[in-house]
Amino acid sequence: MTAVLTGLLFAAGIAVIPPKATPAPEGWEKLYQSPSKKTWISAVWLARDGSWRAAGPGFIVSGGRGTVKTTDLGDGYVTSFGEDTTGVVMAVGGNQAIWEEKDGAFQRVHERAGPPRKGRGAHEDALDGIGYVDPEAPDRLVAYGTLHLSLSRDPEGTWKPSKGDSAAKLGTLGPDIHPPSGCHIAGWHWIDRVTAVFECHEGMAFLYRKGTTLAGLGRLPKPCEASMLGVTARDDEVFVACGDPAEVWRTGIKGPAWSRIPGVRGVTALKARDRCLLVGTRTAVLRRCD
Amino acid sequence: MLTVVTAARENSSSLSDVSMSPIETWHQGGLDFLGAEIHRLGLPTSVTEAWRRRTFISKETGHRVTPAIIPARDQVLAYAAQLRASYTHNFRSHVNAILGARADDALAQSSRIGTLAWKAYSFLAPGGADYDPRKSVAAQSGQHFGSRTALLFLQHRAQSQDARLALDDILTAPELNSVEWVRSSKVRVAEALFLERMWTVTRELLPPSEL
Repeated sequence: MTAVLTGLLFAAGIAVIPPKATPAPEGWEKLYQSPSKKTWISAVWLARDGSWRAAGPGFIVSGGRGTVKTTDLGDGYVTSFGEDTTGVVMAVGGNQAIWEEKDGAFQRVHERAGPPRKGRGAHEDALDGIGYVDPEAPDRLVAYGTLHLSLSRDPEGTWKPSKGDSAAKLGTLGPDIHPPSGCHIAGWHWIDRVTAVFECHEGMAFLYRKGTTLAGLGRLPKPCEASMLGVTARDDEVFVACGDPAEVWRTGIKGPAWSRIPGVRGVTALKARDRCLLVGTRTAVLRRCD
Repeated sequence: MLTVVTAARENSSSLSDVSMSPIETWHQGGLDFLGAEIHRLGLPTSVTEAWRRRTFISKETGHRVTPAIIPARDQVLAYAAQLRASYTHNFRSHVNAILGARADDALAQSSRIGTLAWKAYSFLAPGGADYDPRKSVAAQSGQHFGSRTALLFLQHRAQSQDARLALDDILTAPELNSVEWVRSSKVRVAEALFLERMWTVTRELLPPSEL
């Protein structure tokens, strides 16, 4: 009966915390508990006003000022959030879908024409990120897939396919820079329109900003050698999610020294802003603020 | 030849694309964890330092995948290295853990075709859940019936017959034919052997100058 009720409430767009939900770890605040073990959190975002967003298969959850609202996306799947220069929160995902938040609700403003492709074709239609990634067009908002797919928003607000694949490659691989001596770039992670972190095959990481390598972040934690699921930053701190199940590490930019933030495992997405760090796991959204 | 067959089946253009254009080994292939394996493949850094990796949550499964972004021309090399690594690191570890002191003998007594089948299997499914002897193999067949699970099944089967596990039993145990991974592995081995035979015949028919 509880499961039926939970499902009905979820379908009705009302987030619920099931009775058996685990308590938040010490130092963390639980903002959302997934009503089903079959779903997961695929992306999170902290907005300028301190409100938060999280997404999983078929839904976006928006929270702030004591309210939680769920938007049903049908078969939509969000891979990443972002925002434009005016602070409008956006989401991108499979089937070239782009959602923009207007008047507190997410509206699908673009998707691939025709029925969604399946199998490998569906992979080619997935958008992975959104941002101002093209230094030659710094005011052009770009939604990009892995290597070949990208869409840009024109001044009228319409999303159109970009010419060539340079924007997609900039989004995924970053700009073609000369890394510091002893570093061969292994991964590029955009944080905002001018800031990124790149990791090296040799185990170090560097902060990149406005066309230059700003600071060395030292040797990454051991679990990051195999995979880094996410990177985020605020002011003078950088956070990474590494390992399997993924955990969160932080370091200051000055005099980098990585330390693990206890309490959360199985991290699937993270975003830092101002005083707070927002984390998604398979089943929950958690926040930690200084 | 198993590398050729594997590369062709995972991404058909991998055999002929010799360009430096980047490809992503999950979207355009079957190397879901190449990015995490880069440094244990045994490849020279002069090759792998040009590779990138990315980690994300798979839309299909909700689990983490870490493919690599590599020049298209490196694909066959990557498949060869991953085939070898999955067999050497994963499969041999499972054999050691399950057979203990008998592991080396079992590996040495395996036929070439049997070894190829395990190589193909450990590439497709290097791990696997525990085998549950209370259920049939067919009932447990699926994504989680990896090469480790098959080894555990064969070990249980041998013990119940008061016999010793022979790795070549992967070729003959009828229960394993209900496992899609096993069927796929056998098909790949058959194709590899067929290509080998064709290559041999071609060499016999054509004078060396025309090869």
